Amino acid sequence: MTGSRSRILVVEDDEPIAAVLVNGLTLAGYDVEAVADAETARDRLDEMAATDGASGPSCAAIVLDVMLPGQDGIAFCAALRAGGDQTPVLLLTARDEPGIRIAGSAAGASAMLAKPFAYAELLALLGRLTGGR
Amino acid sequence: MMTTAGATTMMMTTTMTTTTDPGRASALGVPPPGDPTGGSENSIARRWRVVVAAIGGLLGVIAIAGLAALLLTQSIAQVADQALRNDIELEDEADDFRAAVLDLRHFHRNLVFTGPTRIGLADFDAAVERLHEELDELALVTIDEPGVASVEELRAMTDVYLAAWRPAVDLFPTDRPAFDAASDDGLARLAELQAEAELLDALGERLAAAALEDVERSTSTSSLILLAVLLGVGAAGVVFAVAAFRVVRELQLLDRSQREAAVALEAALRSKTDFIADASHELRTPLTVLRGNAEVGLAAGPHDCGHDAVLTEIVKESARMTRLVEDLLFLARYDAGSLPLEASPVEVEPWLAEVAARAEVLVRQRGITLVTEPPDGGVARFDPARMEQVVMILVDNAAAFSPLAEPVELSGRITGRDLVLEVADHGPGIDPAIVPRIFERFHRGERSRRRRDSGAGLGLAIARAIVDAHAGSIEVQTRPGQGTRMRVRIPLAGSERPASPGPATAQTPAPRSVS
Repeated sequence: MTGSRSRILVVEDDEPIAAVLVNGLTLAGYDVEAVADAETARDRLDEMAATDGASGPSCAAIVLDVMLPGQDGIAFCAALRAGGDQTPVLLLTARDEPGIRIAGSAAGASAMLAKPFAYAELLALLGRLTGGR
Repeated sequence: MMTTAGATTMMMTTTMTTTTDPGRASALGVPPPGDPTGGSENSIARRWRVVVAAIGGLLGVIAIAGLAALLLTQSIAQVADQALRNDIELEDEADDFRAAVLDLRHFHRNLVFTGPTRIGLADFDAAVERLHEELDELALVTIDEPGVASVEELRAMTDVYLAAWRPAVDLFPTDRPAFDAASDDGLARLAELQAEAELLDALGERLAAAALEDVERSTSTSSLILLAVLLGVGAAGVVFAVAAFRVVRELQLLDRSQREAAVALEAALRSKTDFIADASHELRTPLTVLRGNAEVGLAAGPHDCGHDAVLTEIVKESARMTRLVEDLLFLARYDAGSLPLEASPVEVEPWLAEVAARAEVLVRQRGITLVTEPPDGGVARFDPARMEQVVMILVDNAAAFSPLAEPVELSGRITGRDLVLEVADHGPGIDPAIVPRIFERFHRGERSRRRRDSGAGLGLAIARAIVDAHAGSIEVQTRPGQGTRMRVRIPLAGSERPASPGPATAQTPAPRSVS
């Protein structure tokens, strides 16, 4: 986290949650960007990949909400993996049920976090996901 | 801009009405406390008892009737048998007696013609002996008939005859005229005896015929009684069959209603589980914001310039969460049937004007116009605060779906025995496939319209709960691309319309347009 700051893409449609994620992760030293749906997220990832190395680092991790308008988080994650993108994905879910966990890991999510989550746990997980890269 | 009720009907393509039914169509579908299953169980037990008592009583009556018939038949048979034996005996013996008298007369005459020869006398004495035997036999038979001589009388007559005639036989060789006179006298006595014998014979024949008739009659009576008993048994059988059929039917109905209750209970349980899952999900979201902001705020420290923003966010989110918890509590109370309603007679026009003013503020924040049509004057009985909540929910909903240029329309009127409130928008309308589900809890029209705009998806569920509690209905008329009209109907419930137009209706102002 020293030197070039890891870039995190937050995909969350609930504004106050997106805001607290942006604030908290920025405070922890990440370069955070938030979008509200899967389609915008894909566009941003494509732009980051295209300008990789030129205007900044590519995405180090994605914090992805499960319940999104349009394509949901699990489908988006599965599509990413199907497209060969191995960016670590931290899946956020408001339903802490085994079914969601199984679907998430089947879709290739790197880790899952149930709302409401502890700030420290979020940072620890993201640290592991970005550090291992 | 205003649409009339007629125009609305024409644009209607999808109509869905939610009404209060006895089973209360709550989203959880919890069966009401007065479930008919328990009651029918009681009534079945009661019917069983009645049926068993009826059949038992009927069988008892049949048994008694049968026993009576048996005793009656037996006694009749006994009496008839006895009478028959006596009467037939009488006929028999009377006949024999008559023959013996005739014999005696015959031998008497022979004695007169041939003189008292040894043979003639022996024959005559034998005839006398036979007559005595017949009299003895006749004495064994009861003769109880006025006008007919008894055995004792007959015996006395015979004795008188013999006493006069038998000694006179010896006079034949010595005193012929005395002999002839005694003979004539004796023959006259014999004729009298013969007449009595004939009377007795006729009586015997008559009594025998009557006895046969009696026996026949008693036989037919007992067979009639037997037939009645058989009919009774048949009737009992029919009653039993009908009762058994009905009981089986009741059991089938009970079984079906129990199955239905089980299915309803299962559905209620499932929807309750869903509701709890939805509620916990809805509560997790604000909790995430609260905890996240608090922890980030702590991590940032009190001197961070973002500290105020974090605290503000916590306060805002707490308020939202409070509202959500209140809404959930409201619905829980409704499910428990303890929704507190403070119904009172409300003058519709001033009430709706006040509600419209508040609703106007609500929709103006979204830049939308509210058009209200002044309602008919009148009084309806309802909880004004709760019904205002209904109108607010519907107006808020309509405004959320309305394009900026198009107004939301609010109107009220009294139709028949109902107060009718209508809220209409010119938004995109509702997909007909979704219409039946819009009153479900946590249902949201579209994914994009998340809770920040439209709440947790409890508004319409709450509106329906309030209208249900007023024994009313909400009707949805919608046409994709042309808007939606929500029509709330609650019964005036004992309210009274003023007979003459009061101050409320006297003004009749023009439709009010507020921007």
